[in-house]
Amino acid sequence: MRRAIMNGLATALLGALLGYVVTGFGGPMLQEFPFFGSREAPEAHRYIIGMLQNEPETLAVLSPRADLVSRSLQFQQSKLAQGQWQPLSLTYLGGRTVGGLGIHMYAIEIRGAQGQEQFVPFALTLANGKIIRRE
Amino acid sequence: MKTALTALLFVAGVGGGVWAQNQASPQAPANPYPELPLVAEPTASRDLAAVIQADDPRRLAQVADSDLLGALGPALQPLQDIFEVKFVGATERKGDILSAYVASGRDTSGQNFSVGLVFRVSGGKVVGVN
Repeated sequence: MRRAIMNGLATALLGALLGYVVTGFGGPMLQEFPFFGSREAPEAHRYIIGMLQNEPETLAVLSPRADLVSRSLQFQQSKLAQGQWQPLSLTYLGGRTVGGLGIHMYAIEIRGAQGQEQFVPFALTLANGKIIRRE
Repeated sequence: MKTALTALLFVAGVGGGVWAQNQASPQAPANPYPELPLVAEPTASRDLAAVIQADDPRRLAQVADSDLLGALGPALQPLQDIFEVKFVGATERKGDILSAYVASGRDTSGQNFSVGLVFRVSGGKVVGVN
């Protein structure tokens, strides 16, 4: 009886180990199958929050290295946008990982300084932990 | 009986391992803003996505006006050939629906690439993209 329990535990442990390792190494590949879907990437989340909260440092860290003038412009635009609008909601619409690219989309509700409200989409493309495209 | 039990334990173990890996891998932090509920795929954007995937310019000219076509061109850049347009999610605010898709295909240099497309649907029609 004891031997049967030990065998059962060993079988379950072997399965758990296999599941853990395969999911760990194959995670990005598995996400390419529609069945597994794609969850929100932490980098995309940090980037969109950085955008909404006017944090040019966060955006710079998550973007491919740009030239000095482009980085300066990013800081300047961020300063100009300060207090111009207020985020009301942020909804993750979904995403997908295809061929090493992660595409993540959001819907944002914002209120402008004059009280006008807008409902705008954002699509972020992620490669190697950096946002390479923002629409 | 014994074989079935062993297989069951093994499958349960695999499930546990997948769950553990899922818990251990980095996840997006909590959203500090309110979220809108997700809605079903609107028929108008589904039809438009199907036309794009079918690579049918004649049908596209019928279902999309010139403003929408003008916006669709840049939104699909740099894709030249599109082989899949897949719906990922949609949300609604005051009758305005934002419906998101991932379009995959090849760019002008023949490289595989994917882009995110978000259609704006209002009054049962697609009125904008991205």
